[in-house]
Amino acid sequence: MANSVEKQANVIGAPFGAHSPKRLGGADLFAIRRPLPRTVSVVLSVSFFVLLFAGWMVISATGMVSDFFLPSPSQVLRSAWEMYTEKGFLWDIAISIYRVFVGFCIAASVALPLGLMMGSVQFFRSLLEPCLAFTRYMPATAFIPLLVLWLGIDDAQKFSVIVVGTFFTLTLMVMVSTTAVSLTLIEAAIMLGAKPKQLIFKVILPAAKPAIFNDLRIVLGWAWTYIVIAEIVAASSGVGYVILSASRFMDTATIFVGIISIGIIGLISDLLFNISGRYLFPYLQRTRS
Amino acid sequence: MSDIIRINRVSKTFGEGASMVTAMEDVSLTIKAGEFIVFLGPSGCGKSTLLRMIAGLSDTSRGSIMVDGRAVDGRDPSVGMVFQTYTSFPWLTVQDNIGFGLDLANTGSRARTEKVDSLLKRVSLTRFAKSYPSQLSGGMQQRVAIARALAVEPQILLMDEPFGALDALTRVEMQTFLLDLWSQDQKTVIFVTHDIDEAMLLADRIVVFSPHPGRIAEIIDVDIPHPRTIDETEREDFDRLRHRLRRLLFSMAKNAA
Ligand SMILES: Nc1ncnc2c1ncn2[C@@H]1O[C@H](COP(=O)(O)OP(=O)(O)O)[C@@H](O)[C@H]1O
Ligand SMILES: [Mg+2]
Repeated sequence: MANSVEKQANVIGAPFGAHSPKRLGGADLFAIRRPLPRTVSVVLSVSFFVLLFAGWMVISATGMVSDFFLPSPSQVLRSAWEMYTEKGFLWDIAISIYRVFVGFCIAASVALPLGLMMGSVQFFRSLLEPCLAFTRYMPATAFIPLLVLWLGIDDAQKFSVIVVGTFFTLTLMVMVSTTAVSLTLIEAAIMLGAKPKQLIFKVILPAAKPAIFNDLRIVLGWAWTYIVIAEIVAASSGVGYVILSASRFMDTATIFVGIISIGIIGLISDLLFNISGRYLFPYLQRTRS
Repeated sequence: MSDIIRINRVSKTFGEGASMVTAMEDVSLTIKAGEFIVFLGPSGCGKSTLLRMIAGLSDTSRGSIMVDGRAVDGRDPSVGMVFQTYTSFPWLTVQDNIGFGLDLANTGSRARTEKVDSLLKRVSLTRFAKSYPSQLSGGMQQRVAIARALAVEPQILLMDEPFGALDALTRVEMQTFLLDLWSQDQKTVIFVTHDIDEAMLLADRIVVFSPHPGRIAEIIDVDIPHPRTIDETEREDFDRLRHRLRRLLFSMAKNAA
C-alpha cells in the first residue's frame, strides 16, 4: 500500500523519495533511487539552465554561428521586450491559450466519461477500443488541410485540430488509468453494498482520479504542439501565426521568443497542475504520524 | 444452534478446454450460526476460491451454497468481508472509510455518526478518525477494514488471511483483538489462514484443505474453551493438535511433490 501510494505521489510530481541522506560524498550524488536534499536538487536544476544559457552566449559571442541562424541572447531579450511591450504579443499568447483551453476542454469533456466507462465496463471497451486505437495512429496534423476545408480558418478549426490531436489518446489513457484500479478495492465496495453506479462514481472514479489528473497534464502539453501547427498553417493571430510571420522576415529572434514563451507557459501549466494536485489529493502526501 | 451456511457438493473450475483448472472439487460443509471456522491449508488449495463463492463474488461451477436459507446469488447483506491486501479507500479518512457502507445506504447522519464513533472506539482508532489510511500502520489499516465491514451489520464475517501481511507481534495483537470482538457479538466467522498457530488460537473448528484439486481433508474440533489467550497456545493439548496439523499439512506437501 505504502508502495502504491508512493507511485501515485510520483505521478503528481513529488520528488524521488521521502528521506534525505545524511552525508553527501561524490558517489552519493549518483546513487540509484536515492533522494537528494531539496537544495541540491534546486541547485542542479538551475545550473543546467545557466549552463545552457552560458553555452548559447559563448557560441554567439565567438561568432561560430551567424546570428541569422542563432540570434544572441541579447538580441532575443531585446526582441522579447519589444514583442511584449509594443507588438501586443501578450494578446497572441492569450488567443493561443484560449484556443488550447477550449479545444482541450472539449476533448476532455468527452474523453473523461468515455475512458471511465471503457475502463469500467468491458462492453464499452470491446466496442470502442479497437476503433480508437486505430484512429490514434492517424496523425492529427494530416487532418489539418481537411479541417481547413470543412471549418475554414476560424477558431472552430483551431479547436478541432486540438480535439483531433488529443481526444483519442486521452480517452485511451483515461481507460488505462481506470483499469489500473485494483479489483480488490472494487470487491471490497461490493461487499459493503455498492451498486454498479456507486462503484463507478464512489470507488473507481475517486481511485483513478490522481492518475487521470496526470493524464490530463501530459496531454495538455501536446495540445500546445497542435495549436502552433494549426496557427502556422492558417491563422491571423496566435503564437504560431507570430512565429510564421517572423520567419517570412527571417526574424529568428522573434521565432526564439515565441518558442521559449511556449516552453514557459508549459512550465507554468505543469506547476499549476502540481499545486492543484497537492490540494486535490491531500492523502497522497506521505506523512506518517 | 441453527445452520447459517450450507455448502453442498460445490466444485469450481477456471478456464475452458485444455487450460481448465479444477480449483475445488465436491466440497460439502455446514456451518452453525456463531461458529468461528478456520479454513487451513497450503496456498493454492482453493480457500480463497471457496470464500469468494460464499461471498457471492464468484459463481460455483457445480453444487450450491445457501446462506441464511437463501441460495447465494451475488452479494448478500448478511455477509461482510475483510481482504488480505489493504483495501481502505485511500482518498477517505478513517471515519469516512468506516462510514462508507452506511453512506451507500443513505443512512441518516445522526445514526451514521453514532455508529462510526462507536466502531472507532471498538477498534481503538478514535484518535485517528481524521487520518488517511496511508498514515496508518498495517494493523491499524486492517482494524479499519474490520470496522468498515462491521458497520453494515453482517451476520457472517469472511476474512481471507487478513493478518497475513502483518509482522508477528502485530499479528498476535490482532488475533487477540479479533477474539475479543467475536466474544462480544458472536458473529459467524470464516477465517482463512495457512498459519497453524493462528488457526488453533481462533477456531472452534478447523477445516483443513488439501490441494490439486481443493478438497476438505479433515475437519477438526478445537475443544479448548474460549476465551483463549496467546499463553494457552503453550498448553499440552495445543501441542498435540499442533503436531497433528503439521503432519497433515506436511503429508500434503509430500504428496504434491
Ligand atoms: N481467477 C482465477 N483464474 C484461474 N485460476 C484461478 C483463479 N483463481 C484461483 N485460481 C486457481 O485456483 C486454485 C486455488 O486458488 P486459491 O483459491 O486462490 O487458493 P488459496 O486461497 O488456497 O491459496 C489455484 O490453483 C489458482 O491458481
Ligand atoms: Mg488465498
